[in-house]
Amino acid sequence: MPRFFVIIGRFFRIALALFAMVSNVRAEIIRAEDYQNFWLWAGVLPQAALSNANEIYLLAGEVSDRGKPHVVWQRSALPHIVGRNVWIVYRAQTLDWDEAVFVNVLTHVKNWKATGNRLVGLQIDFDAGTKHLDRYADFLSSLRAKLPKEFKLSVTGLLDWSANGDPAGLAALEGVVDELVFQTYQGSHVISGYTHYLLRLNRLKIPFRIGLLQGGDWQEPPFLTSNGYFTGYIVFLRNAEKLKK
Amino acid sequence: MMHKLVWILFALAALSFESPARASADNGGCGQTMKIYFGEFTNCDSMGLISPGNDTRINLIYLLSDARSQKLKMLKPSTEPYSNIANYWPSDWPTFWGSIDLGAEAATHSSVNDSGEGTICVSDESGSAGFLAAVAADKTLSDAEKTTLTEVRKTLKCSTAGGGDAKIAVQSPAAKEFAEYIYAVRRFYFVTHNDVSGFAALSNATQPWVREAARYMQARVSLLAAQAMAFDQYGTLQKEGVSREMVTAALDGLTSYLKDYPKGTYAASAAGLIRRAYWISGDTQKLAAAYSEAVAHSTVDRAGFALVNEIDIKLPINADQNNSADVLLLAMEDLRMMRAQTDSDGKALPGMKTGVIEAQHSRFAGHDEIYNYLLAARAWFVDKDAKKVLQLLSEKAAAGDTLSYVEFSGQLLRTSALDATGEKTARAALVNLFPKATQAFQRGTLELALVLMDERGKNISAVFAPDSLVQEPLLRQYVLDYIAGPILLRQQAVASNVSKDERETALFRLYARDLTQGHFKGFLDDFKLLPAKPVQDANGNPGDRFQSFRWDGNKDGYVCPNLLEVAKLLNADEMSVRGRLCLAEFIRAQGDFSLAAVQKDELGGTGTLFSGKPIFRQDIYVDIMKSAKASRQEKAFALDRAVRCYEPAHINDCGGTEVAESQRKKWYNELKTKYGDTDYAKVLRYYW
Repeated sequence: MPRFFVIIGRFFRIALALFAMVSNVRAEIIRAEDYQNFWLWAGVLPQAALSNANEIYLLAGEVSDRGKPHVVWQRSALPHIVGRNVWIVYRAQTLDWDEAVFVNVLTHVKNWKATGNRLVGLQIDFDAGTKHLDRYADFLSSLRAKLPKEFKLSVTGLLDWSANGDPAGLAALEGVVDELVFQTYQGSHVISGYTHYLLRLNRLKIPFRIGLLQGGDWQEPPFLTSNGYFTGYIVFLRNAEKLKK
Repeated sequence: MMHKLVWILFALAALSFESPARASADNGGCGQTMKIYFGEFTNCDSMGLISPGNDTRINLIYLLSDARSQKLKMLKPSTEPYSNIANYWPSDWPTFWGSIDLGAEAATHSSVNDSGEGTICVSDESGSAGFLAAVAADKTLSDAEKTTLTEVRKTLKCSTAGGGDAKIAVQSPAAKEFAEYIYAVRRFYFVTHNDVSGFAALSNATQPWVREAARYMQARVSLLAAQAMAFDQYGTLQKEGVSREMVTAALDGLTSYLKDYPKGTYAASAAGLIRRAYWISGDTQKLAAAYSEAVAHSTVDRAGFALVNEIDIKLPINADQNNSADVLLLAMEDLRMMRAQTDSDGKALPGMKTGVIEAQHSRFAGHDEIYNYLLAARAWFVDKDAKKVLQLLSEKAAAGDTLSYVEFSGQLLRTSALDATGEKTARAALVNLFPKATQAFQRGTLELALVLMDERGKNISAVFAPDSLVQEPLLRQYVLDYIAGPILLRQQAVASNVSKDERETALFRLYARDLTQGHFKGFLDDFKLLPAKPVQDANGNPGDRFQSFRWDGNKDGYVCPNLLEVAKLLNADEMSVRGRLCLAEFIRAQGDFSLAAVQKDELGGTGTLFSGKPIFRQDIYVDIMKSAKASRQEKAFALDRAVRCYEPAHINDCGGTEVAESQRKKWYNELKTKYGDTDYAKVLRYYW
């Protein structure tokens, strides 16, 4: 599942209790009805908001590194989604994909399209450390080369890439990925350093989305919507009993 | 109401992101809080002791390895950039799972990529191997038949729909049964996996391998058929759509298979499918009993880890409390119930009720150690009662050369309770645990405990003593970054008995703090230690750790000399306007070297021993903009930069307080009106 807690990590925890005080934008609770793009993960029951979705990012499988890297299927059956765009998502625990893993993933990509889903592309959800963006870019280049041109490539990213990532590594992603998705999480605690990193997204020249957690809090920074590369939000859906009232 | 119950059961089952039952699914990459004891579950802070703050699966593995007298070994840490092998603390379940040495993988898993784990193709490879071996061993087959059957099976490939559907020309009865089996498999892989008829027809086959395989497959397909109508458009299993009759048929088939083939080829799989049958039909009682049975017979190997993972996903929480639950599951659940929980508004919920564990005493018969530890853990984590912990746990010399996890956890809790009650013997007791703390993650946890104790005991230099027990590089560097004062940093910057990495960390932090905390004289001395710039290859490797401090100043804009010269200015006069503005330019260019804030009860929570108030850029600008010693240009520059501290997010990026927007506006106006002739005023269009 997406790395929602990454920014709470000790290197990213910047005391921002002040943020809520000084910002003029009130924190809103993220409700699925207010958004159009969603992640539907394994074990999460579909919700009504999906019926009117624009794009659905559906977890298909995981490339596990327990033992030799291999694919573990995460969805009980093939989806048949009508009238909405679909992204097929793979959670990668490793980038050591041999030929068999690529074949496995790409076969499923084609199967999903063949079954009638309006498949926009493939998304890779992976924890790429900021220091090794160049290696991630290499992997994504080879994936892009194997992925049929009709499908886009989306990847989840760390917020601090734009702040602390090597500019060459970031630049290497341009032209390879069609979309970066930065995942943020703000729960009942005001623990957020995301704004400090989001403001450095101004340097980024790749279309990006922001990932939010259903039921979490979110304060849209004022500069976000004026950034031409920002293409909207994706909400990670959670099962009913997890959500705030 | 029924619907809601199904909903809840289902929601608790399956791979859930944050099961209220137990730990969550993989959370991938989070930062840890640098302390030992976690009463709440963060999913980032599993440690080497049995604790409510651990992922429940990790606790279960610890308990299981104790119960089987197994020793958990760690894999060697890797230098691979994306290596998932933990060094010191397990942190979360996937990291833990990936860090334990489970021996070499069995050959049958070697090309598992083709098998499509989680799809019906998962059994293709092993099924093929079994078929081929059975054909080779059957003496009633002619050589030609063997060749034909072997070729057909080898070309049959589930994941790529290979093999075709040609009729198989064989004559002998056994060969025909093998052929019928292939037809059934083809139908299963390529046409439908809901039709039992092909396998049912072979359930009384004469050929023994075919008979056994067909009986298993018939049951397996029944179970698949039972859920055929239960998937929604998203491919999610909706239990209301499960056919009860087919589940019953599947269970009959599976149990009768196990009765006739208790050690059969598919026995383990059949047991797993039985659990799945209970799960999809919502039979929690039987599911709990099945898991208890499985745990009671499990060891800590690959299958054990998979079982523990499955339990977390599939077993609803309260099931552990029913009377048939295995004692390890009960203990795991008790630890989970000790967690500090908050409601959806962030308010603390009441802790685990007293007497809960005592009421379970009889269920822990024969497991006194676990029972006792649970009482002590509850006293420590929930009641925060150090005295009670000391009453419950006495000092024990462990037999043998290792500590079980229960022993280790109890003794660690005990030393912390001694420390909490002010006993001077606490540190010695902690040190005494080191020699036998040889199982996975025990040492790492102990080292952190020792550093914390020495931090609070104002004894932090012990970490860097020649015979220091704290050897984890990460921990030592953390102390250098967060706690060490100038003397310790200088000492480690030149220490010969440590790694280059540690020396460089010490020197880096020394420079950073010298400059940002006003030790300019110190900086001038310390700068002599600056290593030469490394010779870099085409990829920029190796990186230059000290690149920031080679700052060459500004050639345009506000002109500044290099960093050394700036330090000289400030050493001569710490209020030097040019010196301070150039220090600010240095920080603006190279970063403020700030560290993440730490909580008071975390390592580093008592603050740094490096004296000197932190210098923030905003404070420099605020002072200089009205300083009599500053020129007009410099005042304008200070105003401009002060306004820009809040660009573009309206948040102060220069350190120090967040001043009100009205103040920022005042700076802006002052720059535009009083210094309108300067370039700064002409270029600045906005304030933020």
